Amino acid sequence: MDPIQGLLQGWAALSVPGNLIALAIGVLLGTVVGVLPGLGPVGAMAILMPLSFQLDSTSAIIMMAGIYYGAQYGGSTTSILVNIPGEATSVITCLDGYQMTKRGRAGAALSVAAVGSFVAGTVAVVLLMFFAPLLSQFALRFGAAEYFALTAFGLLVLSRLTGGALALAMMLVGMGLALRTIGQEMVFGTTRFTFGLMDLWQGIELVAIAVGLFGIAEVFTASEESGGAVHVASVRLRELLPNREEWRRSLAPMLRGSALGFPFGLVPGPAAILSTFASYALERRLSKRPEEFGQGAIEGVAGPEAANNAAAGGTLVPLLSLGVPFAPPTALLLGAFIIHGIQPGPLLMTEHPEVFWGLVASMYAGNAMLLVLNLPLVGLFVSILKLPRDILLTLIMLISSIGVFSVNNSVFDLVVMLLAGVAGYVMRKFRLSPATLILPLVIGTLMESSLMQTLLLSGGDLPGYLLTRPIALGLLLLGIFSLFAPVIWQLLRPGSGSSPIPAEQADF
Amino acid sequence: MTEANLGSNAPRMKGSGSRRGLTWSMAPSLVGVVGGILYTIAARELNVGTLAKPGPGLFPLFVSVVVTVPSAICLVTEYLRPSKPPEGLGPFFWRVPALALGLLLYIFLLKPAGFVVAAALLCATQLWAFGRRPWWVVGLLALAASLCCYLIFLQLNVPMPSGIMPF
Repeated sequence: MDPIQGLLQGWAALSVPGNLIALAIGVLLGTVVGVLPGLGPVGAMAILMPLSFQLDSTSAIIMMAGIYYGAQYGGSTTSILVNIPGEATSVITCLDGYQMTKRGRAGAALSVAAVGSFVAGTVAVVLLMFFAPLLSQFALRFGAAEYFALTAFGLLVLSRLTGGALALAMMLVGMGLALRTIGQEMVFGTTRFTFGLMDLWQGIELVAIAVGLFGIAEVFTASEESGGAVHVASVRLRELLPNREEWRRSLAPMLRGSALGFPFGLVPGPAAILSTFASYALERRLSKRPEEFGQGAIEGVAGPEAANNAAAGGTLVPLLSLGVPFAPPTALLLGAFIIHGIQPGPLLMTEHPEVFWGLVASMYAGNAMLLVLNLPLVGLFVSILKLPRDILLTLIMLISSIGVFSVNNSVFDLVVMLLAGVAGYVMRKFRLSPATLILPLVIGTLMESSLMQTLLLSGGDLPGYLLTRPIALGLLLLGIFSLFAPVIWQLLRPGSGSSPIPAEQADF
Repeated sequence: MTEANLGSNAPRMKGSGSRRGLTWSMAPSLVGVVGGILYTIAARELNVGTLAKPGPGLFPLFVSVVVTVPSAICLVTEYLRPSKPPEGLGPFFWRVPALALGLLLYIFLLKPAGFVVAAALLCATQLWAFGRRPWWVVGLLALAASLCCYLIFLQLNVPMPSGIMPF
């Protein structure tokens, strides 16, 4: 099926009222949760995932994807209006977005961020439409060795990009993998590390861990602060339109941000946050007025906002075509796919075309919905920040606990959520990124089963076997190179940093 | 809501300085080393097999190396060259154990007492911990929140335990 035909099929799937409503609810709820500081796309998806359980698979995936880019969008609103990034990818938007608000140009900044997100989202969907089928075709050649190499490559690159010490990141990756080994394993059917607890036979529930690490930990962290009232700048509808000069200065950064962000999404790691830093640096370098950056330069809002949305679109390519998530939000999306009995990967387009193309069509529609709904409703979204903190945190705690319980109707999952919440709180104190724990937890099963199959196929001669599998060998070598490249770089150029982003900001 | 608003007068944990020695910043790697060693012992009790005929213990053994070795490297590095101390506790840090205990109470009461009772107690504990409202407002808000959530999720076909409640 060619992309145009597929897209038409996707539009047909999306035109079902249930799917459209699921999309609208997804983008709205995603935006609402994305507005809340600390709760980015991962937190939003983890908390709201149970709402999708009662929907059919297409509606559920569309809703989860809507939550993803809705939350991505919501984060920028608070960055611009109150100088509090709703999530890590909006940190850079604070620099110039809030300065614009102080100069009375909040409306223009919000509009440029929204239009930039829309442009980038649309560019990303077009690229996804053409890239994903190509990659899927390529991935049909993948065997166990290639999948093992791909998962190992993902984890190696992730540990290099999440900031902080490499050994510490590797330790977290190892801990995530160790958690995944609890329960009945897939190859031999043996139960491991269950300590006689029946509740552990099926393994540890991903949703419980994710909600604990991101939702409950955030409630704990926020509750220990005094947290005074947030002053929110008011924006009238007529103030939303940027002037001609602002449009002129924003257009090129939006397009550059879109082009720059998408490739970031294709590689493992915190794609969206890295793309915003890269876009900001690029715009500053290209600007004729670099001194304005940090003082309210509209390019500093347009570029990064476009880049993070394009990167979000890019992260869907490896998930949909390879079945391997390279970023925590797509790891949760994979969780939603699996809960609904669908395995993303090279066969997704042929086995579940309505899901794949419905998702692609929903991204077009979702981006348009975000643009049309969110600008007029910006006042409503921001008013969430005016809710008394005690009520807001109590509601997050309550909804999180309902969500986790409803996955398996299991009280044990709630215990896991509580423990993960405490662990997440402590990790924040030690500036450790909980996201580094999530990805190995999701791809650990695939990694183990593909490694076991590779070993069986190799007959014990793993190096010899890998030499006959060039793709797998290439991916492994690339992963190992990415691990040591910064060390080599540092040796060659003393004084240069090894981590592109600080650990405390690498929270996706 | 996270680092940015931490009070400047927050009580600080005993942190690490630039001098070598035992510091708080070693705690994660110490947990990694101890956990890694225990995990290795447990993994060795499983059938590891051989590279040609792997058993269910092989992958955990591989994982135990990924946990223990980097943790040990971190521990030594932290001892020789301590990094930044962990972030300080917030001015209302005592709320964290209070909220955790409230959640624990909810977990234990959810099935026997039912969602409405357990959730009302959870909300009441949370709101009480913040200490901003009189007890009767806390009670009313907690009851309203739990009832509303119960009804909303019932409508969404997400049934919660009814416990001692008749509905």
